[in-house]
Amino acid sequence: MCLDAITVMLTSMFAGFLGSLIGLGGGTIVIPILTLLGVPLKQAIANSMITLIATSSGSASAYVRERLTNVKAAMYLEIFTVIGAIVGATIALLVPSRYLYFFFAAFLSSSFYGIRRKMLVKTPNHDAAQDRFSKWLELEGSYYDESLGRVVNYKIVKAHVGGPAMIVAGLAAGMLGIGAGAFKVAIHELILKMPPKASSATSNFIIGMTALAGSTVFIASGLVNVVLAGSIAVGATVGSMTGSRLLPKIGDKTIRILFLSVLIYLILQMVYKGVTSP
Amino acid sequence: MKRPALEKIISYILIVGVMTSLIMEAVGLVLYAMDKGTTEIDLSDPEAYISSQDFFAYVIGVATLTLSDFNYASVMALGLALLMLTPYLRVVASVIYFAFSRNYKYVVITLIVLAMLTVSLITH
Repeated sequence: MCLDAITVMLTSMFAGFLGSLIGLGGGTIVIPILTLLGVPLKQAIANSMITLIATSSGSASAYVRERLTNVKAAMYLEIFTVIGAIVGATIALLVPSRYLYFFFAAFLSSSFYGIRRKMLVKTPNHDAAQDRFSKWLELEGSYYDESLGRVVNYKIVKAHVGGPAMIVAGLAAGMLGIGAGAFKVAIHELILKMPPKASSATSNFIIGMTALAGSTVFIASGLVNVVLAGSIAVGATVGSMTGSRLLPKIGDKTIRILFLSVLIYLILQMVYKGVTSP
Repeated sequence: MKRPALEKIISYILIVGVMTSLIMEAVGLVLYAMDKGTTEIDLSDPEAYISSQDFFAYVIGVATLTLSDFNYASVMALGLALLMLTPYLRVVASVIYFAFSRNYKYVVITLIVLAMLTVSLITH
C-alpha cells in the first residue's frame, strides 16, 4: 500500500478525464480510488472537495463567457446548495465512515441519470407561462446553440420548488465530497425546465460554490493534506481539460461502455468497503 | 454608460484564480520531491496539514510565512487558500456588480450567499 504523489496525480487525471467525457465531475471517481490507495474515506472526501473548485471553475470560466451559464439562476440556487453543503460536510465529519460508504454507493447509482440523459439530448422550446416568483427573480435566458444553429430562448419555472430541492443536492455534495452534478442537472431539467446545455453549464458553475461551502467546513477539520490535495487538483484539472477537448472525437458508445464498467466496479467496491469496515 | 458584462468579470476571476493556484501546487510538488527525495505521501507528517479555525487569519498567516520561509508546505497551503478564495471573490464581484446596476433583488440574494460563506469560513 504505497501512497505516492505521482500515482495520485495520474489516477486523478484518469478520473477527471473520464468524468468530463460523461459530463460529470471527477470527484465521484477520485474518492473511491483514493480509498483503494489507502486514504481513509473522510480524508478522501475532504481533500477531493477542495480540488473540485479547480476542476469545475476551469470549465465554468469558458461556459460563463459563452453565456451558456444562467448566472442569476445560479446565484439564487446557490443560497440553497451552500446551506446544504455546509450541513452535509458537518454531518460527514460526525457520522461513522461505514454509513458514508453506503451513501456513496447509493449516490454513484444516481450517475446513471447522466448516461440516460446523454442518449436523448433534445432542446425543446419553452413557451410555457412563467409563474410569478420565477418572473420576479428574472429567471430567463438565451444562448446560441451551435449544433442546432439557432438561438435558444428559455424561461425558468417553479423556482420556489427548484430552490429548496437544491438543498438536497448540496447535502449530498457536502457529505460525500462530490459535485452531485447529475442530481443538480436533474433538478434544472425536470423542475426548472432549463434546456440541456444551459442546465449542464449552470450546474458546473454551482459546483464550484458548493465545493467552497463544503471546504469551509473541511479546511478546519485537520484532514486536508496539502500534498494529497495538490496532487489531486493538478491531475484532475489536467484530466478534465483533456477530456473536454477530446470529447467530440470519441464515439458515444465507447464512452458509455467505459463509464458503465467503471461505475459498476466502484459501486461494488464501496458497498464491499461499507460491509467490511468496522 | 458602458460597463463590462458580469459574465466577463466572473470568467476572468475564475480562470486567473484557478490557474495561479494550480501553478503554485505544481511548484510545491516539485519542491516536495526535492526536499524529501521521494514522491511518497506521508499521511502522518503534521507539516503537510492545514489547520485553520479562522480562514482569513490563516490566509494572512500562511502568506507571510511563504514570504519568510518559502517551502513546499507553505506554497501549497497558500495555493489551496487561493483556490478557495476564487469562488468567494466571484460572489464579492457579483454583489458589487448588482449594486452598480441597481438590481437590489440580486444584491440581497448574493449577499445572503456571501454572508453564509463568510460566517462558515470564520467560525470553523
